[in-house]
Amino acid sequence: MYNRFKFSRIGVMLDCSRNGVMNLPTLKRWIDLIKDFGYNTLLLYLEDTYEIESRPYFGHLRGKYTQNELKEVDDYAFSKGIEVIPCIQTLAHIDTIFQWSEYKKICDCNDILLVGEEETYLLIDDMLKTLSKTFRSRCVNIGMDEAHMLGRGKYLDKNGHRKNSDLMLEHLSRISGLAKNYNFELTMWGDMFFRFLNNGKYYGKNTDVPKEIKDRIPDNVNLVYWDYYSLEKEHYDREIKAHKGVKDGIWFAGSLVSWNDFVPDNTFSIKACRSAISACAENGVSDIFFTIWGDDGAECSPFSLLPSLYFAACFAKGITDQNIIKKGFKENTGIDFDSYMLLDLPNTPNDDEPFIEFETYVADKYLFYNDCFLGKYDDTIREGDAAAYKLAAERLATVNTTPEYEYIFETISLLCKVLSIKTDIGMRTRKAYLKGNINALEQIVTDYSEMIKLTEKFYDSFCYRWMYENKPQGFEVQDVRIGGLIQRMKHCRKRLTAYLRGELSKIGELEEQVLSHNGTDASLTHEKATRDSFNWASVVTSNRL
Amino acid sequence: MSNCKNDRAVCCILRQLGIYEDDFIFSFVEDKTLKGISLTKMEKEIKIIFSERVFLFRALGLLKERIDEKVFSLEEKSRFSMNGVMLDCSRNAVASIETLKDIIRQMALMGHNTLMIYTEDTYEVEGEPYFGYMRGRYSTEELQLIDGYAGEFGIELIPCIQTLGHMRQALKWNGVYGNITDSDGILLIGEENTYRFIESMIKACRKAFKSNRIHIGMDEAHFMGRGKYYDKHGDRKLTELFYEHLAVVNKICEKYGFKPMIWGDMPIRQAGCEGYTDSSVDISGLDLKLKMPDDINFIYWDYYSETEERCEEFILAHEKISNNIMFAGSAWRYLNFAPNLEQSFLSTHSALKMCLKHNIKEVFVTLWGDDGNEQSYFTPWPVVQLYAEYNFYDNVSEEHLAKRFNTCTGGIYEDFCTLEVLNYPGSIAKIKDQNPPRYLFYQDVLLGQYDYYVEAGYNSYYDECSKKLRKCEKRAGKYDYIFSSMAALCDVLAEKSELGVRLKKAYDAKNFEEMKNIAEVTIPSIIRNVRKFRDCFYIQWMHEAKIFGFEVMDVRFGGLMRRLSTATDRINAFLKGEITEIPELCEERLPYNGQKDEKAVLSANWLGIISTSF
Repeated sequence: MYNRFKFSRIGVMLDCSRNGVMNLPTLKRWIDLIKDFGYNTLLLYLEDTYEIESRPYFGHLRGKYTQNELKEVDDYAFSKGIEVIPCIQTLAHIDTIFQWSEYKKICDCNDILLVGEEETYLLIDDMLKTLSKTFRSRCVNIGMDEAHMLGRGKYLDKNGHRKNSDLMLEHLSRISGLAKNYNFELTMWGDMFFRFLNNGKYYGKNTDVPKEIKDRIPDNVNLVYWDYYSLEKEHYDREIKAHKGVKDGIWFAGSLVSWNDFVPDNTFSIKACRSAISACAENGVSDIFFTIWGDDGAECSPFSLLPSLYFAACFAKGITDQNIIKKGFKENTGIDFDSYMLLDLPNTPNDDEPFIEFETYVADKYLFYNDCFLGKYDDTIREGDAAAYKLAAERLATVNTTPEYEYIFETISLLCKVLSIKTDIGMRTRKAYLKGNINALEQIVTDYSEMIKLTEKFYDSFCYRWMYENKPQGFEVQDVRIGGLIQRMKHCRKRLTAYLRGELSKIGELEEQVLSHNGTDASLTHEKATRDSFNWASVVTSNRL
Repeated sequence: MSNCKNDRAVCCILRQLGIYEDDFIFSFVEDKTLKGISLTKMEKEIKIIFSERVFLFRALGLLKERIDEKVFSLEEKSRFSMNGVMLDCSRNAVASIETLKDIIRQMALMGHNTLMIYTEDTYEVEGEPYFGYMRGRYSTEELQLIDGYAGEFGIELIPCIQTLGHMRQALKWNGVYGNITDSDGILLIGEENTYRFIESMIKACRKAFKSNRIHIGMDEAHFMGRGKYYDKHGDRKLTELFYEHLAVVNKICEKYGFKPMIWGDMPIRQAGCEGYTDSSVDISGLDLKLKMPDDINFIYWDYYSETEERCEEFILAHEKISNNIMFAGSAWRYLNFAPNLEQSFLSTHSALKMCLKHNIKEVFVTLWGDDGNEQSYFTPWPVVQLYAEYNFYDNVSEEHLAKRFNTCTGGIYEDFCTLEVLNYPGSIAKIKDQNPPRYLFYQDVLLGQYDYYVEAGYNSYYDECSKKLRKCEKRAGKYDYIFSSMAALCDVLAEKSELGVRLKKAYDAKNFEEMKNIAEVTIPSIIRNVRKFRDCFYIQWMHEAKIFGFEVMDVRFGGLMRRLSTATDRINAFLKGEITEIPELCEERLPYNGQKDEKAVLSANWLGIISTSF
């Protein structure tokens, strides 16, 4: 497949900013594990979840790591031969601090810092100073991805229109200067350079970054080419060349797909990583890492991604024989590889094999939160989906796990059990109601009761999972989501019962016509919702949460 | 002489007032030159002369107050040509048809001649199935029905929509509306399709309403021209952009026979006053050269200014832009379960006095319901009454207001004022833009985001409040559900207010006995009371609104109960030694958002109260 290219860095990035902040005992276990798998770098994604002295509202009540905790992690990793690199944000994606008026002053708009403002650089200097004190590594990832509205808010009000590329480069130059005081080498996500050329899109047609832009990238800054979406090696080849064309010395970041739902997509991740890694090897990109993002609440356990985590490491070491990899996985984790892969099932339980496509799906989450009466995602449901979840639950329950990972399978199996009833309960309710089928409605009421019981069980298991792996902060959001869901199920049941008893003359919600979830077509296409097309708040209501 | 038996609306009001038409001989005369009411009672003969129909109903209410007097006559001169109410039906709750009818009857008794139902996307628009989808939108028939009903009482129903910003609920369907979205709930200016869309909205209003006026919104579109518009057209002067858009929308209105009105903040903001709602901002140096077209009414809205001087300053600024100024004030009911009457009264007095001085003839009071519409539509009605009385009187005594309120709404003024005391536990000063009941209710016991402000005595304060409200409940008549629900809230707060402080204190002092007590006694009791409150609140909601939007309240209540259970679970785990610490309780209790010198604050939105993560 490719020559045994020697990667100098094989890393994994943990998202510690999307409500889930991994606790220290677990983080140490994680370090042991990635060490065994063959990684040499751990990257921690920290938006505001690290302590900065004299900035108490930075990461306030978010479970941020204290400086001592970070030192402890760094020491531990160092003793295992692992380098820990902080990944922070110095431009966009730092919206959690803007809930405080102290920082609102330096908000351009949305989640973007106000460029060119002295106060902004005081903050960034404080960030770098903190990292310099807590980590051995002299490398920091300063973020800078997806700053789509850069310069359009307060900046525009104050300074008028400026080219956004100029703004970013000026900003970068300031940060580069600050970093030099701490001897930091910087990496930054590479997308903005291409977005400037392609109407905001990454991986666009135009890859020819003008010389005057390239020349202004500081010498202590390297780009990270990140790509989580493609299975095609040619695509990676092309993009690597494009990124190298901007500045040589790029890093690559792939993804172990885990964001926006409860379960991993190891299948997609393995295929994507394989193409990406061979492209990196052929093009001499020697620093690579794999991200585990936790957008919208960190609901997926990083430990459910062990198959792709292991696969990626093997590929990077030049091992491509599946049987060898699978055997090694079993030896390392004690669990059969194919069994572990069953954690993927809830994404696409009712799909024909092979279900891998160019899009990854997250049916488990929107079906879990889809309101029983309002049915915003009812259009995605096909015949047999609920039954497929029943089967998935059974298959997951019978996996031969180890005490260490048993809880992960239990949680996901319970989730499937809930979905085996919940997936189509709303459709069944609506259908029976509209037909005036009282017997069917009476039967469905008992399904609500069973579903509520199972959801409570799932909650307990999920809560255990969270507290075992993470700090407790951030779980309050899960309490609200799942507690809210249970209350809502109970309420729907109550309204049904009241209707059956004649206390309620009609159930208005059920008389509304269900439309397709994405609004592309008012007819029901059974099209699934894609991973990035929703978040919790948009699933549970059409109103403002 | 007219026979009131042929007049459905009159019969209805007489019945409501408990006046038997057969006991009297009525004579009703409409006289437009009068500008007000003349009411004479000579034994059984009652003569009412009124300049507009709605005043007839006000006169009937006045009659009721003095029905035992054998002979009297009174006159009232009205000073406003429009005096009305704007009801928010877009913040999850959509008032039910019965509620609207009730409101219309009360308004008639008060003498309000205009009702606006604020509908962002909560009305049916032909060919737009996603517009107001699953939000409880009014069908065209429903609106026609309300329009007709209001008309019977002489009340004009004016559509109140949005044609620039505040369109997040519709535009969230980006599969449908992506191509006409600028950014963040703002319509894309200058786009054919945008105007086609706006035209279908206005056309829908034409079909549903008889009025020749329409409120087209256009407030707080802060990010106008900065999203897709900016991508396409680059940087444009916002003022020009705004006026261009307004001109097009105005033409569409004209086509359908509507004369538009808009909120006044955008032109004032663009003239240099960013803090339109900030009473401390200096507005003396504004650049107010651009003029509003004469056929557009320009609304000075102000819910905050507490002094006449400040109001006058704002009026002068608006006058520079437009010759057609209207005023909108506020009966505060947003972001809180309890009303803020003090603030409302204070701002009403100063603003309406200045409106009269500056000959602003059209005023209305808004009943906003931001962040989930958690307050009853009726709790702030003493303020609505005050607006009605200002139409006729310069100085409205509390006694006068109380009497009129009781006549027009059937509620007891003093008891409605009692609802407000929920805002003032401990040493919190009155008349402040703050909402302790809401953050004390929702805030997390373990994270204690607002514990910094909690004083000893909050619990017992709410215990007292509950007792008072229970007394009110008994004599509240048709409003008993409001007092019952607010008393239930107080029952929660009587234990929950101080719980976080108590828990942290016990944890810090390693008082395991107290912690056990909290986990096993206090929290379970609070959960029971939250459930009771939830049930009462549901009754309140269903009394007044359609079911849609309540799913959000289910999440809020269910989430809170679940979260309280988690607190018990974690305390128990700690006491059993399964965990060695409770990190949440180790965090320092910072003041909310750095406001360390305050006694209370205005909290974040719901999600921001329960968590600092989103």
